[in-house]
Amino acid sequence: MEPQIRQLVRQLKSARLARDEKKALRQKLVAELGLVESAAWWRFPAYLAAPLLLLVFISTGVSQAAEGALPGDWLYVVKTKINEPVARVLVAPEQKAELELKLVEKRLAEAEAILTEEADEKTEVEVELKDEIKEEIARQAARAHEEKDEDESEDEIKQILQKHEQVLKRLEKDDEKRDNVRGRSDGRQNKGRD
Amino acid sequence: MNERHLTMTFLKAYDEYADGVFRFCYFKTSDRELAKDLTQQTFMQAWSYLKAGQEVRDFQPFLYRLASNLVIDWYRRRKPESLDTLVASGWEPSDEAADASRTADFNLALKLLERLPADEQELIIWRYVEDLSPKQIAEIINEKENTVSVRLHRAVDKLKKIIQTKDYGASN
Repeated sequence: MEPQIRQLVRQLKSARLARDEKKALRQKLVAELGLVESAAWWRFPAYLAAPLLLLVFISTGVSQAAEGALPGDWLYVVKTKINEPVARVLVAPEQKAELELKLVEKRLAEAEAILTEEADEKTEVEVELKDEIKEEIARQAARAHEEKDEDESEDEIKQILQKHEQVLKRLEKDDEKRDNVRGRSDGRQNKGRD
Repeated sequence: MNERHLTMTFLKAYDEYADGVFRFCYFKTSDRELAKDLTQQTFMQAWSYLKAGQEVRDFQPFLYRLASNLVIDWYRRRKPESLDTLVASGWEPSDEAADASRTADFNLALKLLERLPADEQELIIWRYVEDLSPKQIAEIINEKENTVSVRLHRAVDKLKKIIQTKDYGASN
């Protein structure tokens, strides 16, 4: 096409309905013809659909896989820092107490699972886990204090702790052992310097 | 075709072709509001056609055919009035239409196009502005494809001369 005709055509193509005009006309047609519009899936840009779906699948999969994670697994962070905080936000107020108790139990169950693994890997993991357990119990206590049913909450926590008594005793024992080893090695170093 | 599928097809056609139908009506009438009305009427007629169970193989030429007929009807309904009467009632000649969206370049392009006879203007619009094929244009004007190609070629030659000589004289 000749450049001058191309230029003329380009100008003529610039005439169009404004966005709001087009939308208003569409709505008028829908109203006057009594059309029932279903979800306009065909207007969703196809190039966005696949990546979005993939993202949804991946994040759902990661979230679900994280549920089985133990301290030391990289998914444990997803479990304790994403899944559980989200659950706390979404839960109904009257079910918050129950959720906190479930989480305390979860921490203790994780401790039990850890303690069946090899001894060498356990140390850092046990520290992390003990901190998590302490945080959960503190959260539960705080919630109970707010709702002024401390006695009931304390009873429930005691029940859970009794149930997992063996785990807690083992964690305390490991703590003492670690402190003793540290103490002896500090002593030897100081002796060396003298 | 069930109602839901019909609605989806119809609205998809609207989303795709409303601008083109409006543009055609606007070039033919030089009145934005009228062009919008004619666009709406075009789609309402299209819906009636679909609801009556008629099949539409190619929406674009089908819609332009409806729009073209509506424009012709509008011209026929307009009573011939004297220019004085028209101006007294507030009418303005199309080349001075107070449409803020029209730039000087657009106005010039329109003026050049309007130098062609009406049927050749339409051929240029459909082929080069709306990107229809000669076969689709033949469907609109009920002509043979070869005839459309020949007439199109003549229209382009005329337009080239008009542009080269910058002949902005009275419209045909």
